Amino acid sequence: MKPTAQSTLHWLAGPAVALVGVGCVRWLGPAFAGRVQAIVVVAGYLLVPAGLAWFAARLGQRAEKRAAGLAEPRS
Amino acid sequence: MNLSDIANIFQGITSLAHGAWAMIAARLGLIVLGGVLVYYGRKGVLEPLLMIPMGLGMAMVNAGVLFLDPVTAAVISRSTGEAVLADGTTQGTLMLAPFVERTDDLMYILQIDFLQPIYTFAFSNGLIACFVFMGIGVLLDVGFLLARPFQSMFLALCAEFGTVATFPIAVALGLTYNEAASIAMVGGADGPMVLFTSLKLAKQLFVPITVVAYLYLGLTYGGYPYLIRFLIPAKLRAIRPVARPAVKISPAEKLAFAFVAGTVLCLLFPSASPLLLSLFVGVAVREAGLQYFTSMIENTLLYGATFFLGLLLGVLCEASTIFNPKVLLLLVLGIIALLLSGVGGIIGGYILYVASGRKFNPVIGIAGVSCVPSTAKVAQKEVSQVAPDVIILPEALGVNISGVITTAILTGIYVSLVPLIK
Repeated sequence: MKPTAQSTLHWLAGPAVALVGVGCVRWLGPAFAGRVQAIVVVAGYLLVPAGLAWFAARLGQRAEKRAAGLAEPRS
Repeated sequence: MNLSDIANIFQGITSLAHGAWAMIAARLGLIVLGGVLVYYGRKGVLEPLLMIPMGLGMAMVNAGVLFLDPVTAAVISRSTGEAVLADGTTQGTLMLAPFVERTDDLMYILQIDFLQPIYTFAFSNGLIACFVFMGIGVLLDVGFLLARPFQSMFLALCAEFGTVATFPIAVALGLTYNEAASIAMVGGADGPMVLFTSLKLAKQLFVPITVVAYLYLGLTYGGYPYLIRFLIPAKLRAIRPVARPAVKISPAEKLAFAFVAGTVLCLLFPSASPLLLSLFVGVAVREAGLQYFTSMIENTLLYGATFFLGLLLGVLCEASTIFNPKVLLLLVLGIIALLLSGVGGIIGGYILYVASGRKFNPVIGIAGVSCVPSTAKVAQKEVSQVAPDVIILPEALGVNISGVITTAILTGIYVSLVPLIK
């Protein structure tokens, strides 16, 4: 995989996980009933902060690389 | 001159002494409590920006009760359902009538009560809470969160223990689901969130819940140090954080985070989107370097909103408004929520202490209780007392900011899901 594509995937991973969480809570969860619905919704609620934290960590790594003088590949 | 002439000269005393003994005692008690808030606000024990207008409002609204003229009395009576007196009058104030809702009656009261326009157009719809949140957003530096996101989020989630655990306790003690969710939000230690949740879920109790919340938030600065000293031995409080090279997060990175986090959270909780927008627009304005906006929000909007929030909270503490059999229960539940959240944050700190090979200072956990920046400052102060050269403030602020985000998530969960519980 090209470094630029890999970098883009890394950037999108966090928001994508958070959006999967949103999808679980708002659309996938209500499609089920009972215990399954509860599990899907709770999983969704946990995926959102996890995805945001992942994205935040990516931004933090970017800053660390910049501080170390290693520029990121630009597309 | 007979007794009725004297009563006419001192109308305030006559109207104060009119009615049931319990109500008279409540009014006198609230006047004294208002004085106590002003005194401790002045001394800096409680937050003066909020407590001085609140205390003054509380004392004066209870002292300023009068007999309203028959036309106004009829309007108030239609909304509250209370019977008017034999001469057509009723007791009330010229400050605020929070229970008037019919459009015609509201239009009339808007022309009579001087704080009614601010209450109707800025308080009861959550606008003041949103203004305060914009101010908090402008003051937040999300760079502290971006430097250690997983650690910060984990501790902030642990510090929501009170917000989650108080809900079933409140239901078990007899509150409805909506009321229980509103008082449980006190555990998040975020005033605007409590105001917003109670306005959405338990409008009939939003005055006592919000007053309880703000009173307790003022006390976190005084109470949490004892909790820290009780649960964390001095040896552990003195742990020095592992030295890491300082990383400068650029404004563009912080702006990107505000955009993504705000948009995702609004997708998840449309009902909490006014608060989320307010918070992240504050962050965005700060990081985009819009100095005129930053200055306007930070000074005019935040201080203006805080002043009117305090004043309105005080004026809403008129005895007949706040006199509710559930108030005592709310007082107990509020302190349980804050206590459990503090304990949850410290437990999270201990988990990271063990996971990091005993290198993590567990005091940082309490900063997850998102009373920005009070709990972070409390954590640093407690550490400084046992080890003056140990600095944990940057890590504590990161956890503190995550606490705002997790409290916003909990607000969204309660506002969206609790009305669905049958």
